[in-house]
Amino acid sequence: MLPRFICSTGKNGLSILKNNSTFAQAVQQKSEVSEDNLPKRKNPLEHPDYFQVHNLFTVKDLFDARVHFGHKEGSLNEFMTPYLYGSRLGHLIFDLDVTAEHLRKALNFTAHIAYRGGIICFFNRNALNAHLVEKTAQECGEYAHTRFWRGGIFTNANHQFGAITRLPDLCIFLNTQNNILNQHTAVRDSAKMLIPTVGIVDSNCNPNLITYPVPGNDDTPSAIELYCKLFKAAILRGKEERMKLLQESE
Amino acid sequence: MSNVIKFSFKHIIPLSRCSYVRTKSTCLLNIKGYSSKAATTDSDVFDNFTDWETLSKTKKISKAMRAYLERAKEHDEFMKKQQFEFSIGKRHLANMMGEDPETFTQKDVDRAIEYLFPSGIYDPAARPLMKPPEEVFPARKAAEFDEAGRPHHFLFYTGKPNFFKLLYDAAENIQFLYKFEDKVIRKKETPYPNQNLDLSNTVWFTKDQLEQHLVEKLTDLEYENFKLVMERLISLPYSYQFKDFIEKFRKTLTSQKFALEIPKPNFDEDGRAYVTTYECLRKKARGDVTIRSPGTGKIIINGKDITYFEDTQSREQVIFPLIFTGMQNKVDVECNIEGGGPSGQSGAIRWGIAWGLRSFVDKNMLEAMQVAGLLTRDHRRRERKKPGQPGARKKPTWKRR
Amino acid sequence: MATSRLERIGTIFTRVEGLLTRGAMKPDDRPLWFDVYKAFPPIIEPKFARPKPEAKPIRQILYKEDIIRAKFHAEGHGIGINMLSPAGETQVKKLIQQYEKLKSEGVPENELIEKSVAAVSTERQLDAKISSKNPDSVTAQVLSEADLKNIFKE
Repeated sequence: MLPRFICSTGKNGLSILKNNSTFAQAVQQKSEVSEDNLPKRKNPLEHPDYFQVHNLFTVKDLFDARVHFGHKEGSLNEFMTPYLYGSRLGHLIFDLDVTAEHLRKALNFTAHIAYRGGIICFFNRNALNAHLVEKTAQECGEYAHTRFWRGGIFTNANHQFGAITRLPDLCIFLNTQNNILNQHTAVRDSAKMLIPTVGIVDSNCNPNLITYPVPGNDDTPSAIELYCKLFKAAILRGKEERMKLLQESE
Repeated sequence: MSNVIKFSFKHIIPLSRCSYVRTKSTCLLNIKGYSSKAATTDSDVFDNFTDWETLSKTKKISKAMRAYLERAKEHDEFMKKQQFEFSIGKRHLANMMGEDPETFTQKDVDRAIEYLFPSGIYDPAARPLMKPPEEVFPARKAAEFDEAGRPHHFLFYTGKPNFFKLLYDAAENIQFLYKFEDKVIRKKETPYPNQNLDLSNTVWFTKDQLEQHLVEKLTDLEYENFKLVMERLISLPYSYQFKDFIEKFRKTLTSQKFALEIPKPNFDEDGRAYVTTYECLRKKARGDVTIRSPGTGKIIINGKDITYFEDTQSREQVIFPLIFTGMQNKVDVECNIEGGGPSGQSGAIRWGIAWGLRSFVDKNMLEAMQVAGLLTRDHRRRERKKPGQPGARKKPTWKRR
Repeated sequence: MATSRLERIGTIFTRVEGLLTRGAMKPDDRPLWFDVYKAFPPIIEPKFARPKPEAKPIRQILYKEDIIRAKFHAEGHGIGINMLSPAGETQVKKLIQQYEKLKSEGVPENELIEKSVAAVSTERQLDAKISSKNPDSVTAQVLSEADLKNIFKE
């Protein structure tokens, strides 16, 4: 599927490759582009990192926020093995270079959705971090759902809310598990309803249905604090650009 | 109602703009259709995409909002029709009653309906009525989202935004108080020593009250969570800082029930204070009791003394409140009683005496009487006989065969 | 919507793409994220049905000094971190450094553990004295601010 897709869109194929490049190259790209055409507003999609999300964090920040800690070996989901660095005395450790790459992709996607005026909904089922997540959502003018998930909020929305309802355009899961055993139903439901998802997946989670998975610790408050900060910054950057665009076009 | 109307009028202009957009997009589609006939490859289809951003500016009204506006318009038209029919009906009614249709008020309508359609139906809701349509049809909820379809409330997708906002606010306040307490301990200060939170004469909202306040249905578990969070909040030492927030969800208790109700005694021509209690009811007995103070303990029942009752139990019943309060030689009692048997009559008198004595005893005795059950009405009545059995509860003797 | 709700078949992108190429969904009605996804697809296609990654044994993260560390822990030393100044080195790290130092000085193997424990504990006591005098350290600051005797009174 993927190769055919790259061939079909020649114009965007290049940008995909650019986007996959490392942080240093991205910076270089940016400086080149900015010299070329400053006055003309270009399509943000053609730029590998239009909202400069790569400079929001460093791998050191991730390490300090304890993003690298996974669960114990016994609870490992086998689809998470490519993201692991190793195991320290039975505790799984994530490869933070891989995490950083995935996180940058996710942040870029989030910023673009915010730029296009999409609805972004934060999810989290961990009571310890629920308040922080709700607060973040409120601060960036978006939505949150950290409570018990009544079935059918997405799949039966028109009935549940009593009217035709616009569903979120992006779901950000700061914790994809409902409890330690089951996946959050909203992950499945958003895949059903064609809603892309960004999710922090710990070593005991299944990343298959998450569109932009970010391997990392999803329990520790300091890690969640970092994710919240990053996603908030990305959303605010996207919205700022949108305001500029709307003002220019008026 | 007026809100809804205003809202829909405000957005009629965008609607017309929207139809313009629609025609434009069909043009685009036609172009696309031609091209797809020429050569249908994936790349062609994707290249023909109009840029989303240019679309987004014109396509401002979302599907959700459009549906809402349509429904609002439909509702308005329906209400207009109902209003028209109501006014015609009112004129007819006025003519029927031979009154002036111009000055025919709603009160007159109700009277006319009652006269023309007399109804013996017990439940008033089932009787014929003619009310203005605004009262008959419930008001509609205003839109919870803006033109782009974005909900106004950040917890909209939880389905109970008001309730979860309440929990969010409580958690926010608790966190603030934790930090405040830490600061106080570090600075070794005691801020506002005179401030405190007095919640002794208030209680938390009941589930129904909370539901009414939030306009949302709650489950029992959610109500328990509410109480848990709020209890945690008020248990913190500096919770008086959020007095307003806490008191929003508390209701004042009705205190001092007796103070308001106890009647002041009247005085007769001899200068004696007296209180008459009417409607002393027990079983089928009914009567009134007058208590005069000061007195000598004289009891007059239907013109006779205590021997009006032949059995001792009834006599005990009558004098019990007097003995309990220690007033048996200080007041005179006079009562008229009819209906029922001796037990019902004596019970009615007992309650009447106790009720009248409230005016002559102090507060402590009042409470003692309350506790002893003297001030409680006994509402039990005779239970009806059931068919197929000899009495109310009694069953025929059971035999195997 | 005309879309299928079978989330296990393909991905959200391929499902929308299919509708678009077959004309079931008008290009103008395509979801807001579609162009963004096209420009920046995820690193691994988010298919539910994907082959399991090959079962490689998980790499064990071990260090040379783990042997020494194990020795200290077996004796019950090296537990305790100052949570108020997490920037400082941990107890075990200090012990290992001391161990290496003593070893290079030629102290016999069987005395190494005891001697390094003794050295570190004396160092710690010295440190405690200094930190009480040093007003810049976090510990000293917090201790001076807190009224320890009345901390539970309010």
